[in-house]
Amino acid sequence: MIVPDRRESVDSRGSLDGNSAGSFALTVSGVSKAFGATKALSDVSLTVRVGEIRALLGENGAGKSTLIKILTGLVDSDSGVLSTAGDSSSGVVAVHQELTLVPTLSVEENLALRKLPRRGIFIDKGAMRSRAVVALQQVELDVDPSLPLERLGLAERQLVEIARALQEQPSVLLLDEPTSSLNSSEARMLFRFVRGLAASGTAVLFVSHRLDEVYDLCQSATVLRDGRVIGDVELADTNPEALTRMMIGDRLLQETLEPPVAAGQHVRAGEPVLRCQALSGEGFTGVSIDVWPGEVVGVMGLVGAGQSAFARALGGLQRTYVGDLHIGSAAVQSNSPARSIAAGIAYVPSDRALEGLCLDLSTGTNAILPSLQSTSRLGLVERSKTRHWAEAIIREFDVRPPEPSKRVGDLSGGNQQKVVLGKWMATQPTVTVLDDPTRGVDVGAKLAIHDAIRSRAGQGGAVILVSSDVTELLSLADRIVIFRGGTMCGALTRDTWSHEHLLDALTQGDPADD
Amino acid sequence: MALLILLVVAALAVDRFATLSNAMAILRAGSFTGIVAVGMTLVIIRGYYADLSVPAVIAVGALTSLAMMPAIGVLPAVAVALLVSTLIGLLNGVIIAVASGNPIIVTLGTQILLSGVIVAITQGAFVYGTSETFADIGSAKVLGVPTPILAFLVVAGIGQAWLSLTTSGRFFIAAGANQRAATAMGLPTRRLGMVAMAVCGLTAGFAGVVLAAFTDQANVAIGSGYEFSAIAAVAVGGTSLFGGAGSIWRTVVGVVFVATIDNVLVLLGLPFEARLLATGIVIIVAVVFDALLRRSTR
Amino acid sequence: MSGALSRVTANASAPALLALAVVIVALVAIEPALISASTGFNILTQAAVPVIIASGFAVAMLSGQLDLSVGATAVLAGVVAMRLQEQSIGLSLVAGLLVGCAVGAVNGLLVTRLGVPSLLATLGTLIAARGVAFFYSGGRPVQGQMPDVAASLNSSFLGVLSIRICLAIAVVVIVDATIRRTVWGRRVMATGGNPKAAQAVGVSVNRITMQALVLSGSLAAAGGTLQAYLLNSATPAGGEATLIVVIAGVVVGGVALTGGRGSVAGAALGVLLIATVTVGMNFIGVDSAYQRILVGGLLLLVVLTSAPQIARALRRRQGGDRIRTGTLDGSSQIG
Repeated sequence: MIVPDRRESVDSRGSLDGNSAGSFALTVSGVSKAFGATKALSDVSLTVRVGEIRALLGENGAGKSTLIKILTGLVDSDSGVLSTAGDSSSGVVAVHQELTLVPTLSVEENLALRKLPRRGIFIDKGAMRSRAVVALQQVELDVDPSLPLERLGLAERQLVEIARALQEQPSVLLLDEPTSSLNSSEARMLFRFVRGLAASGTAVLFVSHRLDEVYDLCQSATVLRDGRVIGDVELADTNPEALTRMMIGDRLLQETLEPPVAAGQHVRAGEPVLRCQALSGEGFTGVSIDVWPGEVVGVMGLVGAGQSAFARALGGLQRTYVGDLHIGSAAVQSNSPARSIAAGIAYVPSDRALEGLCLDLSTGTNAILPSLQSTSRLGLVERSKTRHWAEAIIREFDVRPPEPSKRVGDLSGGNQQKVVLGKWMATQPTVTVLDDPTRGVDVGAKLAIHDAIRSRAGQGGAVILVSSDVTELLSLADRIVIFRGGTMCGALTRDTWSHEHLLDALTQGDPADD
Repeated sequence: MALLILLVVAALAVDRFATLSNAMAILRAGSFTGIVAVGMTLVIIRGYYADLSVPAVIAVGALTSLAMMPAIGVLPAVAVALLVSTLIGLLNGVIIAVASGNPIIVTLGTQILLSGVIVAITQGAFVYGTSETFADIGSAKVLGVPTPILAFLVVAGIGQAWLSLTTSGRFFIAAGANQRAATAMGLPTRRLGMVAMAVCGLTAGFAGVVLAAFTDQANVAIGSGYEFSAIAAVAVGGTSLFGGAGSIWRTVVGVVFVATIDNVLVLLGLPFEARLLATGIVIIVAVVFDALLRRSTR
Repeated sequence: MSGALSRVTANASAPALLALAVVIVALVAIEPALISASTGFNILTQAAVPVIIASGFAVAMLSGQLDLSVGATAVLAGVVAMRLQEQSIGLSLVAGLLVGCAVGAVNGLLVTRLGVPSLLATLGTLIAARGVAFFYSGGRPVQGQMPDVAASLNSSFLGVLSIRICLAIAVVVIVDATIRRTVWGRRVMATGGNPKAAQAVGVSVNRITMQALVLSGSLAAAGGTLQAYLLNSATPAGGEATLIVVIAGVVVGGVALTGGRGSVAGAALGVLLIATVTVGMNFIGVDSAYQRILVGGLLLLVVLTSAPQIARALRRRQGGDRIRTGTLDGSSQIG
């Protein structure tokens, strides 16, 4: 991949602040931050030069969001120094993937909201309009400033957001996954604009999960993992494989902690229990896969590649458009969780607090909820039986503290996840779909969750395991399928896989963009 | 606990409080609120804040049973009254579920609409009882306990059994605690909402029937104020107004608490209006307490 | 003029407007004599107090909060004003308004400090204010001491204007301009439209919420006090009726229950339309019970037609819907 050196143009034109080219627009040194016992960032250092477009990379939980919050002043760091060039006090201004605009206000009002111009007690409409015109010209957006923002498309709104950020004349413009809701031509338009911006001397920090975009736009990258800076590289000196390895790499090293089970255990017998043919839905297209009883299918992809959407669709939480889904011999029209569950699919969501648990209820109540129907007679809850069930789940998954009456919201993340998993495993689902079940849990809980997955498969249940953790997949899965650009693009079996294969499969160009 | 303190203080400080007949008076006065409060508890646990159409539905229950009685007899008239009340509650539930409507706005609309319909039909006039049996039942005592109290205890017993012993009872709590998680779990959250509203209609209609039997007359205003006293009873009993937690027996305690305050105010010679003030204060205190409690567990 | 009109009606609930239009046309068809200056005067007279209360209520709703306590606050303010009238007019007026500030402040504190949803907080203050009003009045209407003041307040001038109509117009014009044209007003809209975004650009969402609720309480109290002075008496009952007319009018006038959308002028128009129907029904002798049915039904109609799926269908027909739904797996892209 060829990365044109755009710094030359900066050299020739000079920077807006009058600083010499190559000087630092942003310097972060030795920043650390802990939330309670968990260290979110340790000793992070990072620089962005004037006119540079630098990528900030890292998987979920690597500490990116915390760093962004510290950079934009939403959170104070525990230690470390942060300095921005120039006398402008605005420093780093962020444009988030979740737009911070008010849809019901007009474009010009959104642009001026931080500091509305006044004349007497009223808003100075003339001044607001002329400022809006200037700001919109800067991002080359040709819309009527008096239109309500909600009448604009998403890409246009993104530009309005950027225009607002630029009004503050930031030393560094931080773009946080700006393309997540854009299609490829909209993204290209955005990139052209960002390049121009950098060429005229603005420093840009670009946060994205998509390496193709990073190579397209940036000159350099800082890679975070587990709260530390793992790499600080010029993109011209490296390749996507190396970057990916930096992002997820040391999980591969951890493999020794948990040696993979001997390969080739699973023998396909009889008919597949789940058949999925050309299934498309919100966020994924054309997925075809068969899963046999007792099989663990690992699903891997970079963030946003469609694997989570596919898992959610199986669980009935996201809409499917076309294609067939069969469980056993029965066709499933899975557009509601109730139908998926009735068909024998249990979906373990990635967000425990939002979709997994009723945090205010007790551990026992949460553990027993999905099994209530089957443990009851004539709709009556049999108290002793449910208590035994709850206790069994707590015992089997080693939930701590082992008290059914404890409020589940007071448990640690790992123990909460054990409750979520336990409540579903107790229903003995035909197909268990797990979305990143070990994200953010401690090692003990991780092992318990892995045991549960193995034992479910051992009892003849099919398991679909979406995970961003390579070690986890290598040690649990009988086969690993890869998602890229919203679709499934290949599968690896125990005979053929290796770390290199996986990395290759993950990082080859993004078909959705071609 | 607060109820015990209240009872002890009242017994020591207020003459004529600690007598059996006064205890019966407290319970009887509270029983009408209590019957409504059982349905209201279900609505609030489900996370629907409140049913403000209760006064009109009580009037529908009372007026329908009294008016139909001469034509079709006591039991069928009561059955029709309960059926109509349930349907009104169900209608509330359907509008809330289908249109994702705000429960308070919807039930307020129903309240106004329904009271308008009642006035249009009755012209605000009283309807008097025609059946001696009905009136006798309403004012009878079984083993010294007035029938309204028995009716309240039966309704509360059924409600508590439902909520704590059945699977669907647990589902109400789950749906109120975290609607998204409940949906992801495959629970029919919308249908649970409809059922809660329908049951609240049923209990309000039943309260109307019991009131009609007790007073042997009814007009459009018979149910006014019961929505607020029921909410007060639920809140003071410790059922979270935010939904997702609570029980019927707590509401029973709350009903007795609110009724006791009423009773003490009456014994102290304070006017009826003091009661409304007390209801308001009780609700505000309960809401603040609830909110503080939630903050401390976060 | 037409521009201003379209601005006012831009967000109004089309089905509700249609329903009201049908009723009005029917009323006029039954009784053509309805179209007269005196009917116009009657409508404005009848709408004046609810419009004042609705202006404050609309501001609270634009900021994203539902203030159910406005009816009870108006009633309480009226009772307080009448009880204190014999001491002095000044004291009576000030106390009446302070009642509103106090209720609004309690609402604001419950919502911003304790995180109680406004629906619950204001339901609590509704019941409390109602209780205080009944207690303070002894449950009976409180007679004022100044029938002559009431008479002069009620007299008309310039044919179709009276003090109360002028006051109502002034309140609507000032509050509407405040929302549309001042910095504070835009912050109210931003807070209701997207509180996170408002916070992100430095709007103190809690302070705005507090202020909007205090304004709502104050204008409710102003309306209640005015009403009491006009009638030279105040009754502790009737707060719910006021509340329902205000809610119905405001939502018919296009202020979204979810906040951030609509205008004060639209809210006033909604109340005015309901008053038009009420006056028309009175004129041809329709029982007031049917007016309740109409208002209640109207409220349910607006709720039903603002259901997400139905509202989307209606918007699409108006051709303004350029919002693209996400194509990517947005749910898992939290970095």
